[in-house]
Amino acid sequence: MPEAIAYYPGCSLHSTAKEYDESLRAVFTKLGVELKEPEGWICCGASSAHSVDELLAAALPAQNLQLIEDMGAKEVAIPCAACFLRFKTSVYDMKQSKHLEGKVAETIGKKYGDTVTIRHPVEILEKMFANGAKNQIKKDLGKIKLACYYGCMLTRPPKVTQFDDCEDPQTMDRLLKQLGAETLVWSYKTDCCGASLALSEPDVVVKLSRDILADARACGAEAIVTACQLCQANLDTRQGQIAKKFNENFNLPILYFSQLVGLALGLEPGKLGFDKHLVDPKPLLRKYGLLL
Amino acid sequence: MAVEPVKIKRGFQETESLKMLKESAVNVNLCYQCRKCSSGCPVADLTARDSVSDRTSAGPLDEKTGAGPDSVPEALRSGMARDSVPNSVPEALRSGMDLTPIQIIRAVRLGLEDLALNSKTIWLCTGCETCATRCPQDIDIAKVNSILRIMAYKRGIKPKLPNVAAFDRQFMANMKFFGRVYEMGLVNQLKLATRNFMQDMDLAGPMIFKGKIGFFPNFSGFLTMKKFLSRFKKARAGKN
Ligand code: SF4
Ligand code: SF4
Repeated sequence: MPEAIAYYPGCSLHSTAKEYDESLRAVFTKLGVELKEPEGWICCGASSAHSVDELLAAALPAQNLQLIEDMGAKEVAIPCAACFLRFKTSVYDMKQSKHLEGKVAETIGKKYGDTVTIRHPVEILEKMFANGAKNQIKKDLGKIKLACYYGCMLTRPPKVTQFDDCEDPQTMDRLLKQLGAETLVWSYKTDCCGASLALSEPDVVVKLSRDILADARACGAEAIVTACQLCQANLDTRQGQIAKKFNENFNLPILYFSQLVGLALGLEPGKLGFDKHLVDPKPLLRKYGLLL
Repeated sequence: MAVEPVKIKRGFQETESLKMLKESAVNVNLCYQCRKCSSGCPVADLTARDSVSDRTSAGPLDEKTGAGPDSVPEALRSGMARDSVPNSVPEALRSGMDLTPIQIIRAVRLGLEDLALNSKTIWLCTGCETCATRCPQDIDIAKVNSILRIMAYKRGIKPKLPNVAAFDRQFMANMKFFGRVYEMGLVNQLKLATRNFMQDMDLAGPMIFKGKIGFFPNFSGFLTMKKFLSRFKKARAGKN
C-alpha cells in the first residue's frame, strides 16, 4: 500500500490552476505517495477573509484542519501559498489568543487539537529527494537556467510560516539543483507580485510583475519557477499587457516546480500541463531535450 | 503643496483601532520610526524601484566579458530615479499609497484613525508582509492595515479604492454560497459590481482557449460551509 498524506488543494487548483494540481498528483504518485483530499473541504477564505472578519479568517482554515485531523492524518500538503499562509496564521493566532481559540472552537464545534503539520509540497519533495528519491531521476534538467520565485506567502511572516530563510530562501533552489538545473541568484525572489489585486487593481499587478520579470531576465533566467498559482498566473498571463504598457517583451515561461520534477522523473509531458500556460514553455524545454 | 495642519488631541486616546490592535497583540507604540516598513513596501511608491532591475535599460551586459553598460551613472540611479516616472505607470498609481506604512502607524498611534481609515493605503496593501517581516520592533503593519479595513467596513466608510472593496465583498459572497470559490462566477460578479466590463477582456480569450477557466461550480463543500456558517453566526453574536 502506498504511503498517504492529506492534501488540501484549495479552490484554484480545481479550476484555473489544474496543471499545478495534476502535475503534483502525478509526481507524488510516481514517488509512491498518495495525496488524499479531506471530504467536503471548504474555501479557507484566502484572499479576503482576513480583511473582513478576524474570526472568520481563523475559523475557516481551522474547520479544514479539523476535517484533516478527523481523517487521522498527521501532515497536510498545501500547494497554494495563500492557503498555506492562512492555515499557518490560523494556528499561530489561536496560540496567541485564548479568546480567539475559544471562539473558533465554538464555530467549528470543538477545540482543534493541533496535531497536523502544515507543509508546502516543495518542502516535502525537497526532503524526499535529499533522502533517496534522487535515484528515481530519469532525466537530468541539463543546466537549464531557472529563477526560483518564492513570492510572499511561503516566506512571510517568518515567525508564522517557519519556511526557510525569509530573505533568501533556498528550498526550491535545492530541489531543482538536485534535478540538474542551474538556479540563479537574483534579488526579486521574495518580492510581491500583487497577488489578489489582480482582479481589482490589475495595473498594480502589471507593474509589480514587470519588475520581477525584468530582474529575472537581467540575471539570465530562461524561465521562472513558482510554487503558487497566484504568482504563476500573474507572471504568466500579464506578459501581454506588460509588453503593451512597458514596451518590453519578456516571453519568459513561468513554470511550476512540480512540472519540472515531473519531467525529471520521466513522466509523460502530456500529463504535466505545459499546454496551459500563456507563454509557451515548450520551445525552451525542447532546447534542453526535455520534450520531443 | 501646502499641507493642512492636523489637530491632535493631547493625552492618551483609546481609539477603537488601538483597542482592536491590542486584542491582536499588535503594539504600534513600539515604533521608533526607522522607516524600514515603508522602504520595503512594494506599493508605497510604485515608481521608487523603477530602475532597480533595469540593468537592461542602459544596454545589455557584454556577452563575453559580462561587463555592464557604458553609461554607468544612468545605471547607478537605481531606486533613486523618482523624478523620471515612465509613462507606462498609470497616472492614478504613480504616487502609490497616499500614506506610507509608517504614516499609517503614526496616524493610528496619534489617535488619527480617520486619516488612516480614509486612506488609499489600506486598500492598496497586498498583505505581502514585507513590512512586518523587516520591522525591528516586530509590529505587524500588514495586520494593522487589515484591521483598519475591517473597521472601515464596519463603519460603512466609503472605500478609497472601491474595486478592492468590491472584490472582498464578492469573494466572500461567492465562497459562502458555493463552499468553494467558483472563479468564473467571481469574475462575472465583479464585472457586474464594478461595471468595469472591459477590464482584462484581452485575457478572456486565451484563458478560455487554454482551458484555464472552469465553467461549472463545485458543490462538494456546500454542506460543510452551511453548517459552518450557522455556527459562525452564533459564535459571532455571542457575548465576548
Ligand atoms: S519598520 Fe517598524 S519600527 Fe520601523 S518605522 Fe516601520 S513600524 Fe516603525
Ligand atoms: S503588507 Fe502592505 S504595507 Fe506591508 S509591505 Fe506589503 S503592501 Fe506594503
